[in-house]
Amino acid sequence: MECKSCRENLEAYRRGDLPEGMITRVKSHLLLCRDCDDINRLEILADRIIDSAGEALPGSLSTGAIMEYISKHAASGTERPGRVYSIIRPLLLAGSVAAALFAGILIGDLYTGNARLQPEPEELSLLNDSELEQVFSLSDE
Amino acid sequence: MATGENKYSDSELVARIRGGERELFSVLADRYKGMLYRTCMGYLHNSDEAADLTQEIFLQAYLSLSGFRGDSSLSTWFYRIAVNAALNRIRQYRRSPFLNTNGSISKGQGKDAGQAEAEIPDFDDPETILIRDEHRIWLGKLLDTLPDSQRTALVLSKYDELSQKEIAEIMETTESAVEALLIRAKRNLRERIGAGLQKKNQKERRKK
Repeated sequence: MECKSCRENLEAYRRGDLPEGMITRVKSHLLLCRDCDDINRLEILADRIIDSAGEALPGSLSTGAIMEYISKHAASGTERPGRVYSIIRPLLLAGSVAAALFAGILIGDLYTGNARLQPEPEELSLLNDSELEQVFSLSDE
Repeated sequence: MATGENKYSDSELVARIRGGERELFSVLADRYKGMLYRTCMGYLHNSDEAADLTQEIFLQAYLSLSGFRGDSSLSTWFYRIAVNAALNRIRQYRRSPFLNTNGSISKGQGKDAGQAEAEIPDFDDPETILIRDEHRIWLGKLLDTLPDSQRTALVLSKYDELSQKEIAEIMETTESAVEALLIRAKRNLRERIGAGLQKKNQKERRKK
């Protein structure tokens, strides 16, 4: 049996979920392969650590201690807003974004409008459209 | 706490608590503290830190109980709060390692970070060995090498002994996705253990 196959079956082997033939093969491989045997034993250790995780609750987790913790910290805080707020909040956010966009467009428009109202440069003011027409009439002669 | 309240279902208790009988939250705390503590141990591997986080989870639940819509069971709701709180705590420890008092969380995430730090503890006879802090730290660092989703699936499966269906509901995913996460998580852990053993054996050979 190859190491890869043995390791993939270790969990099932420990649970006793393998067919008889496979159990024998895994067992034989573990006797011969130190690395796979070490991995098996480390996985057993990991399982034991996990099993022991909730064996005894610490004293700070008595129900009284939990409620005291809540009383102490909830008194300064407020309850989370309810359903109405959870509907209004996105609407307020959307409204804020729309207002910001509108303000931006308005300011941009005012700026462009101001640019149009600026006096035309002196050079352009010297040009007289009516004189231009006279030039064309001269050219016809 | 009067024993009479224990006969009420979760939904009845939630309705009464929302109705103003806030002190009945103690019944829920009593009912779920063991479950949440185990979950926190799966992430933090330190009794004091897990207890501290469990208290915070109950505070969060107390403050947001009005937001519980009843779409899922109360236990699922509690688990979701616990998983999010635990993952946030771990991320906090990674940013500020001095906060993690027992050193069970690696400074970085990913196989390289964990592999460098998760030294194999003594394991001559795992059946009789006394579980010490160094063993928990080793396992904590090993689990810390997993991506958050694989770690969560594994913690809920091994520490909380939940079915794949229950885990899928908590993680808001499918059962087949949970199965895939568990397979990958176990494979990754096996590889890390193998790599850690190889490193340990090389060290021992150099000493000889």
